Amino acid sequence: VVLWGTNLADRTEPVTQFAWTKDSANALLVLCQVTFAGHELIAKAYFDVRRPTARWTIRPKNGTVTVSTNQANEPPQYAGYYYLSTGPNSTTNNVGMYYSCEMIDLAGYVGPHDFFMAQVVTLDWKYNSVVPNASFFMEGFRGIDTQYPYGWYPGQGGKTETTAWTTDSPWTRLIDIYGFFWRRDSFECYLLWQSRRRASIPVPLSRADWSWYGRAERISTNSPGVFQLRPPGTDPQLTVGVNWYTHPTWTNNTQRAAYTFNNFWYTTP
Amino acid sequence: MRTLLTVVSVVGLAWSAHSTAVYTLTNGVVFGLEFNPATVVAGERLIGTMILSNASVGMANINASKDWGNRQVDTAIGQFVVTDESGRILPKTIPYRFQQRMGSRGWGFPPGSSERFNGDVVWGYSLTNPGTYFVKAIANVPLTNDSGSFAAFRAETPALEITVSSRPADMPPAPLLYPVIEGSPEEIAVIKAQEEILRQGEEAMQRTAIQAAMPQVPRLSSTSRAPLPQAVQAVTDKPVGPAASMAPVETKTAPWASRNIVYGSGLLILLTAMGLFFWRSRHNQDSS
Repeated sequence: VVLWGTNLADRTEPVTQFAWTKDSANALLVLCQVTFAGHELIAKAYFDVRRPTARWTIRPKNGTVTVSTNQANEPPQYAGYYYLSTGPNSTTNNVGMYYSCEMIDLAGYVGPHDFFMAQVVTLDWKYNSVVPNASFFMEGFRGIDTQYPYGWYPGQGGKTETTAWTTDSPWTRLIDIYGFFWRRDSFECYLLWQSRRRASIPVPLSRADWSWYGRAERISTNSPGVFQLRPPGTDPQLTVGVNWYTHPTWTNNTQRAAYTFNNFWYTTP
Repeated sequence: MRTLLTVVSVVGLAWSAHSTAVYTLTNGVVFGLEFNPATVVAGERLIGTMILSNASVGMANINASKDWGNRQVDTAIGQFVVTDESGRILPKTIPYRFQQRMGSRGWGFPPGSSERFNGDVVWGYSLTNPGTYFVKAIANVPLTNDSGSFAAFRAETPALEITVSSRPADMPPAPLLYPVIEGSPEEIAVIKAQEEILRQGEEAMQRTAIQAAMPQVPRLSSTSRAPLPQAVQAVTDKPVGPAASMAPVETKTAPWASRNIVYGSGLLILLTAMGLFFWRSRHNQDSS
């Protein structure tokens, strides 16, 4: 039994709930003991705890970190801007990362269920400003990546599908205040499963980690600025999920990530 | 589900005392905007929800921003366009330091499914003065396809009416909409300098976008009706009077073009005559 207390993306107070995350060959006892009007009452229940098995693959599609103006679906007024990017993101074949999941054994479970992803990210970003002797950094900022759960097909609502996918293409628009920009994202990706037959909460099935790192150097003074990639970077990695039994926790959201000021420029490579 | 969505698209507008919603159906995808509630006390926040529903028989793929409520996007898929009672389009007021920065995410959008994307219209456009406002949504709406493409088209909803009511005297003062920049005087000066750089860059982008969207200069006819640059109005957030945009545009470029041809021809004749004169002068000198 685990105690799950965490701040979800849209909550400000912890919630405490109980769930099994490990299956068991033997029935597990839940004992409820109360004292009422001076009498002690005991209730017992035995549970057959099972755990689905999933195959979860996290596959880079574009493959490399780039600096270019080729970023799809951006507003037209940003034409000409450069992007530090994991993928141009025009199709599922050139996204930064493609997450695909297949439920391979529901362990006898029949009925509607959900499985979805929570992505927690640690951000290590910094930049030299074009303002002289000024730089900003966020180091080790850890939080839920945008929202919980992460966007996912077929989505929530008690489905019966056994496969699902989603994508992530982290990128930074290289705006006019950047002189030199560094970005490292380290992702913890959790696959969660939830029965919809009874009152239940999501339980973790699998975890996969990946990261990327890139840096961009401004080589012009005009607007929008011209930038080039400064290798070496770290390209997104192919990853396979491993069994995981601990609920993800976080206390912040990337929407609230804030920079800290330095009154100097970082040394550039 | 598809039948239901089609009916909704025909009805188009749903309204109650507390909520309001509007839907359009384009290319098999229902795009809607909801406010529930549709009224807010001045100083409080008001969430608008953009809704996508796949009413087609084809698969689509949603591409959405990983962050919203910044200078670039109000919701993960698009923008609000807010006008006041006089029809003036209100500019986005989110400080320039709030930039879109995380990237994009995507997922499948099968027939019958729907997604909701929230955004705070008060935060985006400083709707803190009592009055009536009209809000429409413009977003990247996915094209149905089976190829895994994130291809999308720009769609917009009709405008919805929302009301900002006066703040009762017994309510505590509303907190500041945008947090004050904190830090040392040096840090504040740098952040303000950066915001000024970003402001100038955004204005330059908008000028470029407007110029790019301007119609080609007609060269022969003396008057013409210019295409409406609606998309530009939507993305620039600049006050552009719809009535003015609808009016036939009297173009002065065509007479100027004709006049330039006359001037150019005259100049050519003059140069030819001068050349002939000098050639004949030199020829006469050589003969003598």
